[in-house]
Amino acid sequence: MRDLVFLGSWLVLVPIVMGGADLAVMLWAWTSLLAPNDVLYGVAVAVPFAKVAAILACLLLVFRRNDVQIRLGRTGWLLLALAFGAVLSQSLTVMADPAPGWDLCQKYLKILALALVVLWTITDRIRVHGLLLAICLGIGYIGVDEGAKFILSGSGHKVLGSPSIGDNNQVALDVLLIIPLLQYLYATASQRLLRVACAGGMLLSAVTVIATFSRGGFTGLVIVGLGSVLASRRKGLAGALLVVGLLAGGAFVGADWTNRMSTVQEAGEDSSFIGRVNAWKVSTLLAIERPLLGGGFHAIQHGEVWMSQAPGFSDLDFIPTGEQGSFPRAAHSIYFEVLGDLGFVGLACFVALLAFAWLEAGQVRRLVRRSGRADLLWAADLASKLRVSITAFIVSGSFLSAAYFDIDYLLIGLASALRFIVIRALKEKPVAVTLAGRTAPVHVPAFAATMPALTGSRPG
Amino acid sequence: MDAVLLVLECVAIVLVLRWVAARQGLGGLLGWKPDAPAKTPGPTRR
Repeated sequence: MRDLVFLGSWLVLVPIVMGGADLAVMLWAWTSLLAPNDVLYGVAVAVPFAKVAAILACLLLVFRRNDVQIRLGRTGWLLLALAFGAVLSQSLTVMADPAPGWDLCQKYLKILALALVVLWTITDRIRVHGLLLAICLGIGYIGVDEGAKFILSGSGHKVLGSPSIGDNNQVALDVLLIIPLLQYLYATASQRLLRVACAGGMLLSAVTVIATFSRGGFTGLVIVGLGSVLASRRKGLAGALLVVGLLAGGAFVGADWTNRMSTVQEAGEDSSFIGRVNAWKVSTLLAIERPLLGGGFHAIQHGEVWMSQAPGFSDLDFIPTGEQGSFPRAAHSIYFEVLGDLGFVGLACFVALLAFAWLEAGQVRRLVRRSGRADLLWAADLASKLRVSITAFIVSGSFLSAAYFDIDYLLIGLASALRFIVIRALKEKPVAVTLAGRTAPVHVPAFAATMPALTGSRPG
Repeated sequence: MDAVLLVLECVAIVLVLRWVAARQGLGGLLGWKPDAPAKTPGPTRR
């Protein structure tokens, strides 16, 4: 039955998105994040929904341009460099069986393509809000579903993972990243129903992160909480809500959860943590052996590649972790994952991509503040929230294999698109969008006239 | 609960895309415009 409903909804969705490439990109983002094939069981399970949306988006980019702006900028070039590096690394991989690596490589190329078309098609406020809603709906499904199950089961339900996202740690990180975006949507929504939905989504997403029993996820949740307080215009209220939330959460979760989180302090003696450091060492050794290419996608998870680094393992004994072991492990860090897979060049591109997104979000806030433009305050608010999400990813990702997630690159593309939107808007006459959708002039303070030229300005 | 949520997801994404399309005055497949009047006046002939 659910398959028929889902297929039926596409009969409505496809005619709507034929209106423009931007709409198809929103559908693509939603479908990629929702991964509907994981929750369908009948006739629709074999339908490649994300592929259909991607093909629609690409066709519409050619035949139905609707304010599409083909540009690359720093982010676009880095995305292309990563795509080139990914194909090259996988083509010259060290793996005996490269087939699983090619699957991941193809997935990664689609993710990079999605981020690139976000840069090109998300060119104004309405489109930004549409994409934000699509992202929050896509990931919000698992956030709301698992969070509600955890509450209804009296904290007995444990999130084990999802076929498309990965294990519990990866689900925690994915869900975590939309909480700041939901906060932004909550603050800007004018309809009560939407505000209630955003508030519920935030609460249940936070509960889902807790229900994963992920220590990396919990660290990220703390960062999102503190970052949200600092980014909020009403810091006192936000801080009070955070304290109440922590107290309520602490009273609800069981002793096993508290015991699990307390092991963060004993990381040096934790076998799980030591195993991760071993994987980081193997990734580093592989990258030293092949600095330009790396070993290919998730190469160290293959037994022969893992053991090939055994002779040099003792070279990194200045970090004491004991024996390497014969059982291959995942990298458990976005940085070491990219380092082992794509080499030092790929890591440099990946880190630069994250750094630029973080700096560009800061630049948006600074530009809006200096301009004094009331009609662009939304962009500054969104940039603050994007920065919180990106910071959570940068920190929590240090302990999780999550370098090839859709949401990471969507946030990066969104930050870059937002910067382009603000720079373009600052060149135009200031306007305000009223509730009726019409425009009205806005009072611009005198100091806005002293604003420096923006085209040549750099983030920092 | 999964099925109910999935149906809500479908309804929500249709509303979101329809909202974005309507705010831009876009026509969809075969020129279908969700918020356009049934008939638009053509050019007047003298």
